[in-house]
Amino acid sequence: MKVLLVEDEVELAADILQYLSKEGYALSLAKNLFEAEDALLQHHFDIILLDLGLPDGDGLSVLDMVQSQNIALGIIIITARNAVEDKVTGLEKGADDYLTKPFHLAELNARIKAIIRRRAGNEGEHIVFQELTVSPNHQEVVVGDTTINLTQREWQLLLYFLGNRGRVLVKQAIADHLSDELHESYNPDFIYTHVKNLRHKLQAAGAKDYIQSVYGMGYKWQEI
Amino acid sequence: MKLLQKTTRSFLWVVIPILAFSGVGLFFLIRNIQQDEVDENLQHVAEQIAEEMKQGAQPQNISPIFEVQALSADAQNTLVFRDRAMPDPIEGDGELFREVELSTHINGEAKRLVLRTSLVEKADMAVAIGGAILGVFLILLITLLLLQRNMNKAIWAPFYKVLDQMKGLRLSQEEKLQHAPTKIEEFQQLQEGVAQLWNSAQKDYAILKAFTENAAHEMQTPLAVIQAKIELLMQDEKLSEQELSALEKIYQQTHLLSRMNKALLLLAKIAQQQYQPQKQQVANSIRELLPLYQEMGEEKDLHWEVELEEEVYWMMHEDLGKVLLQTLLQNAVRYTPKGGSITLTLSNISLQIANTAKGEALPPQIFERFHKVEQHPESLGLGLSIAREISEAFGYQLFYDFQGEKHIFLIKLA
Repeated sequence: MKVLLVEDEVELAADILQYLSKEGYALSLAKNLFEAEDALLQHHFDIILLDLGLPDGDGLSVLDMVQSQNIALGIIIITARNAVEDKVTGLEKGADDYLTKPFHLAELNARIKAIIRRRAGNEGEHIVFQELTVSPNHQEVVVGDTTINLTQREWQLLLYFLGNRGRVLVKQAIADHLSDELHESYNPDFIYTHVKNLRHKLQAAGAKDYIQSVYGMGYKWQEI
Repeated sequence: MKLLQKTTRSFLWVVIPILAFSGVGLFFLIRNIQQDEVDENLQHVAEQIAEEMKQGAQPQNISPIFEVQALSADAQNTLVFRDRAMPDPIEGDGELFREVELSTHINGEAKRLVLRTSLVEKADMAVAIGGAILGVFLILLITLLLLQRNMNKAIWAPFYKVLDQMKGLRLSQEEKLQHAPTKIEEFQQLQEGVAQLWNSAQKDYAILKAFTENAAHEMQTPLAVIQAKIELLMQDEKLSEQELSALEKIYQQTHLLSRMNKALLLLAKIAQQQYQPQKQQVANSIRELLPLYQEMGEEKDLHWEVELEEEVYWMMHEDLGKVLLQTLLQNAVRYTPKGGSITLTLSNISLQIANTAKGEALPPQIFERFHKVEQHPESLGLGLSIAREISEAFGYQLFYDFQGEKHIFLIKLA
């Protein structure tokens, strides 16, 4: 999976690359519009993470280029611009998703995976994690022979955990993920109930307890 | 009062008395001339008869228009005019006559000649003349009035154009003023003045808008860097519980800062009228949001009573409408005690969100920025002030009331 990050803020770019490196992607960085277009002409990418406010122009023009050249890839806009018009324009021009800075790295990671899943279609039907088999297209989790019945929230939560395996996830990041970008997010304490229920259902079906609390600050999906 | 009304009214105040006075004056003038004519005529005929009698004629009395009487010899020569009511010999009722009484000596004998002429026809004449004067004056008045109105309209047209344009101006839309051409210096000055004012207002607006947007955007990037660094740092397994806890605090505060930044930007944008209203079905917007808040309330066993009238619309920006509803719903869920109830009532008059109160009525300052009711770490103290400013930006009012142990927030829709 080749990922191109277009971001002029060096520190943020370094952090994003570091976080994503554990996912086994081939990562490239373009620090401006010129480098981005150059990279797109020379290589094939599966995903672009695109900042809009670039020193030599508007990142939206990358979208035009992708559209005009018929390059098939997933695009996530990451920007400090919060204006509704920008979001609408971005999505109209073929972006798959839109994240406003500041965002949680775990959220970015989860969104990348969602796009990969969507693009893979039936091929990406199953996520297998030890005794768990998860089918995102059917919203189905199977442990052994048992199919687990999850609520929408628990389902979202499970995918989020699986997408960010082995990472500490702060409650706020989880709450924001569940809130569908509402202006005022979920009360972080509220997610406790959902995590508890998810844990309970997984264990009842015979799965191990992979979800660990991290000193009251968040949770971690830990391989055991 | 409108300018045209005012000028028309002052015009009428001047013109009507002048026309009335001159009309009455003219009427009397004509009547006097007519009367003099009658008197002169009577005198002339009487003198002619007297002359004929001197030649030996013996005229007979013809009542009521001619009488001749003998007077005592020492009578003076006089000439008297007067009005007199006399019975009409044909119709029998009283009729007004003008008479001349000429006392004179004819061939040494004193005679009095009385000559009368009916004033009835003359009165008809006066009425006709008066009517004619009135008619002419009315026509004159109406013509003058129309002329004056049209002239005023034409003269003031550039002024009204400026006025109309000023009413329609929105700083949020980049508009140029279109002036009607005028040769009147005062209006030219007015147009220039307004144009200058408008240009500087637009410039200030653009500067302010750029500033708020820059301030908010440029702050988001460093916040994003801080947040990403903390998130990465947290993955370090060698960190102690204390260190992790400190990191979490930093993370929370960063998050708070970022939310505050977004909220303040939103407030600035509302104040700058950057959002255009659209017709929205209120019940739809509420239903879209409600499940999330009902879910949040499950933990506290909240009881919901929802009564939504379908055909209620408001003129509202879609996203801001959601922000407004979210704020009220979120507050209701957050501040209702365990097992309490939330009542949502939408009618075509108002939208009302009431929830069981934990304590007493809230102070009026709840709508002020950064006012916090209780110590809630995740509360910015901006929600209700945003809610109120959104309502007011689109012409609705948001009220708070405390009734029957319930907090009630009400948006007046009509």
